[in-house]
Amino acid sequence: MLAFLVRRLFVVIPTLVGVSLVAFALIRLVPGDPVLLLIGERGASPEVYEQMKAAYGLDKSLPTQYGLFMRSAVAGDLGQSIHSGRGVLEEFADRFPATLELGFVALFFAVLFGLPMGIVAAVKRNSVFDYAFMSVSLVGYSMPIFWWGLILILFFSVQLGWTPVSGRIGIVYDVPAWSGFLLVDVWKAGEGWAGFWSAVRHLLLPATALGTIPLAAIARMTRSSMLEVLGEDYMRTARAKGVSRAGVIVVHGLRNALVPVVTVIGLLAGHIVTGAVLTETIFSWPGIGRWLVASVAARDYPVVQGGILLIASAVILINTMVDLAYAWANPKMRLQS
Amino acid sequence: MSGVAESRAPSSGALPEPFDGYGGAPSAWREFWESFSANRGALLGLAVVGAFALVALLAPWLAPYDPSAVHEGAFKLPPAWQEGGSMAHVLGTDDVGRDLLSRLIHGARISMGVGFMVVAFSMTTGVAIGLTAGYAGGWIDAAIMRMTDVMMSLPSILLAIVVVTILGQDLSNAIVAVGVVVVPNFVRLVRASVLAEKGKPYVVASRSFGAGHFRQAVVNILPNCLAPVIVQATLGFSDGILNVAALGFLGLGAKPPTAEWGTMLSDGRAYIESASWLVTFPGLCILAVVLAFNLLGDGLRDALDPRLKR
Repeated sequence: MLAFLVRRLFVVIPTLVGVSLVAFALIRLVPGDPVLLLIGERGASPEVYEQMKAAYGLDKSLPTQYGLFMRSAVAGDLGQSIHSGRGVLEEFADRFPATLELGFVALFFAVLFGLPMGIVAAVKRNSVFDYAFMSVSLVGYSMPIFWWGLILILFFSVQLGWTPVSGRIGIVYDVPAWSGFLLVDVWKAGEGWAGFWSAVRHLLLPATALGTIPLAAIARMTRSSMLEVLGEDYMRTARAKGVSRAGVIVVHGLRNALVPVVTVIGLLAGHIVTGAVLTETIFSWPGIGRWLVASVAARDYPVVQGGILLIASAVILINTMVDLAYAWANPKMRLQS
Repeated sequence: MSGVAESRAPSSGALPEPFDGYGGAPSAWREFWESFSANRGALLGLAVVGAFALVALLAPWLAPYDPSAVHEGAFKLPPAWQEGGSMAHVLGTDDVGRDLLSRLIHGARISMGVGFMVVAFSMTTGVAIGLTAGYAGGWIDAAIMRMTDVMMSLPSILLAIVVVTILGQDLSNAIVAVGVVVVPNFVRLVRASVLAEKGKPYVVASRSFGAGHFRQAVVNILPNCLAPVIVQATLGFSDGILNVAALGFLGLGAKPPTAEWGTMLSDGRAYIESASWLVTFPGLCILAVVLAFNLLGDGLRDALDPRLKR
């Protein structure tokens, strides 16, 4: 197990260095001068321009810039946003909880519905339920979420008036950031159930939109994994011993069927980040997706390279943990790769 | 695959018949088609893909109007079956009075073309790189695999956004951006198949006859790695169409007058309350095409790759 861990680390570190190089290089290939964008095309004398450039370290050679970026990144400093002047890490920390909260709730929604759908479809194979659930998950898997979000708004917000269209919580609530998760912070701020309910209502549509593809993936994976397990000898043995049908399915079947499903859930983390960019744009959700899209448009080098590095690190971290968990559960994996 | 060969051997203990080519066995094509056509979902997918391809090819003849023609006095006309709609514009018109049906039909042309070009680009690049990695092995393989690791840990849409920003907003640049992002999928797939094939007897035999590296890699190994590539290419169509539409939706795809579904959706968003059909129909088209390609891809996988059969 330790050897596996060390091997994984040897893969993770070069990947992280590669990500930092790509993030650094890509944003510098974008045409447009960040300093000019900041001070405007007119109104700046060449001296001010040079001064500004030096202040952001943009007058140095590219390798030097990368070296400086990496040295401070390792020390936990990702520089300052050219746009707001605040630290990149600070800005990221402000917005990340919003994305994380949305992602968690979306994943919760996906598991809550996807898992039972997959189990029922497998147990009642070729029944109406099987066909219905698998059709739903096939459609869900193909869903353009930017359209799905709009359709949810059209139906639930515009026509039924049940849910708000955008934002995280009603404007009447003043919730100071404590954990960054509004579902938690409303209690700390003393807004009680009314505030909590408002936050939940704001979360419903974006989480549904973001969770739809994961739901479909989980339902499909659960079904095929469950089908495989249902045919195993130990299932028949357990039945022969007198365990009830439901008992066998839950205790013997589900526990073994869940291993690949948990892996898929872990790997969906990367998808959640990608989906968050679109979902946050549709629902004006103040998370990192929207922030990064805006920063690319503003040529805010430090924000884009720092933000991409942070997101990619998070994805790599999650994937590595999934790998480790899988290797722990399945010794065969440790010997491969 | 050895299991298949064994199961064909007669079980009665009689001597197996001498090998006479493939005369007795069904042809590979026939075997594929029998397995594929038993899957109703796959047939449906094929039919829908075929229908959209036909619409795309015949767009100028099928569309009732020019997609960019502005019809004076017919702004935001609802579909024919709604109150105030007219049969002259069956699916209604948009905010500047263009016929929605005509725009959707021409949009099929763009989306099918986009899907094709994304797949053509990412498949050729990915197959070439994956073949090199798998065949060469060693540090070349390690370097290429680390690069795909890097690309796969970057959120795909973000990477595509940055690439489009570098190249400039344009449909063809969006295609390149989306194509670049899906290259690693092909690289990994081909590499894995090449590794599995590399040690097989036919490759070793060919080497003993003096086959060079190019012949080994391209003529001997590659054709045996194509089944998963075909499946991935089909699924790549849906990925490509979806992601280019997403870029269009974010305002980074086709430029405004172009009748691209994602861009139309983004334009229609402002009128979601007053003219919801401008949002509903383009999205339904995207969903239908993507769903059809996914169905087709699933069916192809089951038919071409018995190992993955569920």
